[in-house]
Amino acid sequence: MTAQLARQARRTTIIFWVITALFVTQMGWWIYFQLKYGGEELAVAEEMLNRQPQLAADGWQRQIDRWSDSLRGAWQDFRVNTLRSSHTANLEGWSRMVFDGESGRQLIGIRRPDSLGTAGRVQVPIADGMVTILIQGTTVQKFLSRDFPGIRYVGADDTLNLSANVVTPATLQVDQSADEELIDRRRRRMRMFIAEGSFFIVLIIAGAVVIHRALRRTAEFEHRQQNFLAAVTHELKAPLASIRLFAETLASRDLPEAKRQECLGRISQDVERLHGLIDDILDAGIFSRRTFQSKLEESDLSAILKTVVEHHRPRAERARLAVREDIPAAVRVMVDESHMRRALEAIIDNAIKYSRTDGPRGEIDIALKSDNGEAVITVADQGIGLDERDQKRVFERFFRAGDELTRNVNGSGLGLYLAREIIRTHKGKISLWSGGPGRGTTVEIRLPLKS
Amino acid sequence: MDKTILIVEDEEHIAEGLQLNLEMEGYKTIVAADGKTALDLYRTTPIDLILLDVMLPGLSGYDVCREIRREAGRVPILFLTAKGEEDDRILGLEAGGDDYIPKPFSLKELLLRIMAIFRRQAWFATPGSVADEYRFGGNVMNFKTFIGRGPRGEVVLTRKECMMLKFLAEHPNEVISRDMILDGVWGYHAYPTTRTIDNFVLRLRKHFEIDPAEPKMFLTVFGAGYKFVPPDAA
Repeated sequence: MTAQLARQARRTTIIFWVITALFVTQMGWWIYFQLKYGGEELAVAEEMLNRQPQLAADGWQRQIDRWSDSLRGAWQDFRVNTLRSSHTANLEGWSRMVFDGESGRQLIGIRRPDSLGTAGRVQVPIADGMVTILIQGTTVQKFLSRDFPGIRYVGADDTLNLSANVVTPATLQVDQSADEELIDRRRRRMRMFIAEGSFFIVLIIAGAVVIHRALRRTAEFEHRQQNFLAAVTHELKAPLASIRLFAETLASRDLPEAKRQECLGRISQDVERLHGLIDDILDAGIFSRRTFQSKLEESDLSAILKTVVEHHRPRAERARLAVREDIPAAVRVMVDESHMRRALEAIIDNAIKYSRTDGPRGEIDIALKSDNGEAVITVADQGIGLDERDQKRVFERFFRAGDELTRNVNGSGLGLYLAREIIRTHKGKISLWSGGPGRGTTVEIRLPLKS
Repeated sequence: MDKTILIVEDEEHIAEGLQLNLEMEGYKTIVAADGKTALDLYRTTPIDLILLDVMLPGLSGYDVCREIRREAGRVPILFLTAKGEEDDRILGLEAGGDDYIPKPFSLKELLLRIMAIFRRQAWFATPGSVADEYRFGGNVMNFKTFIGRGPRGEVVLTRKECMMLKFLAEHPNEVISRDMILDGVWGYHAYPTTRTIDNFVLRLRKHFEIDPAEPKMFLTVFGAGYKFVPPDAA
């Protein structure tokens, strides 16, 4: 049963952490991609922005190429030579292009120098909406104007205007400010992604931890309660079984008087045991209430402690334990006597129960002293002790160390819990330590002295 | 009657009361307060029945029972325990217990059950209509050695499984109600629950059916009980 619960809890935990890990990985990838590719994208955009003028110049170059292409096409129509233009563009001042001499001839595809004249030049002034090419030279104009519809003869004999649609540098120029804004926006978005992603990761992990803790706590509580139920079931049923057994024996058998008395004695002992356990359970209910308060009155702690020790001495003797006490007279504190007795009983009862019965005769040391305005009670046994993990948990309700099936010792898991609750209402402190399994346990109670 | 009963119980009073009553009934008794002592006593003394508490210091009752069965011990074991939930009952039976009585038990019922265990043991030990070496559908079961051979090789049955198989073999091709099985194998009605019978049938299927999920011999008859159909007996 317990193993099954533990397995279930472990499975839940594993599933839970796998899901969490998946979430975190996903978020991690997201951020990684943002950092890597988001950054790259940004870099490209920035670079584009830096290269704007260069790109504009490139644009012009292409434009000029197109013009020369169309011019070449025109000359082709004239069946004049086709030449690949190898002009050099002079973009100085952005106002016009001048193709001198050879390059000018090449532009319009005239091979012979005298066609343009030795000093012939082709000018390409740049203006909105139109490009005018002035050809200074000889006699080809009329061919041009007649057979090339895109080229219009406008001026003097030796000049020719070619018109074509032009994109001016003004429109070629990209609006840099808009781009910068875009990049800025992109950069902001990226930062936000990363911040958001990190926030989510932190949130998921925090949530995971919180949920995991809550789950574990619930599982632990359930486990403890189950433990408690198992323990209480056993604790209640064992004396009950014994009572029933002896009662039925008495009813059905003809026993000699001595045997009868023995059976009756067993019955009343078991009734006592049941009574104690039921008290524990009921008290746990009462003491755990927030409003629970002890009625504190000035009393002698020594007397209370001595009474409890004497009450337990016969049991200790039966368990072959020596009880050594070091209790000075009259240590006055504010206590609720019945509650304090209950707490002390629980602790001394534990010291007897958890002493070793296999080794040499054990000892229990019980001492009371005044220290720094506090009354300090210590109860030390040489018993089975506790490992470090269990030491932290002994005051928890229903907590019991060890395995429920093979536990040596009867108990409800309530004794130390009750003791802590009682000491708390006395404004005192209770602590426990052990040298480890097999090395004994010491419980210390500190209560404020009545000044 | 010269039967020896080992009482394994850490509650002094209960052990004492049991001892008193069992001795008045004419049984010999030995008491062990923990599992280790019980095992030592079992190994050194001839014992006819063990009354075994589950919650024991050191070794639990289940552990003791398992260990005895592991050593091929076939002494009947009657669990006594404060844990009376279905799961715990099944755990006890799986560990190899023959019966299970929850605390606080009635003295009369306990004595009846002990008597029933001894009576059924006597029935089991007398050769009846079924041979000691029983063959059915390619399986063999020896009721003396508790060792058989199923479709998956050798199987070792517990005493109760053997008794159940023998009971079924004595009534082939009959519809047998769960109550009849209780009467025949356990010897009384009060316990175990009919669910436990189902558990035993499942285990017989696991031992002897070629496909335990598709039983051909140990059949369930809905609303009535079970029917044992050995192929060669038909």
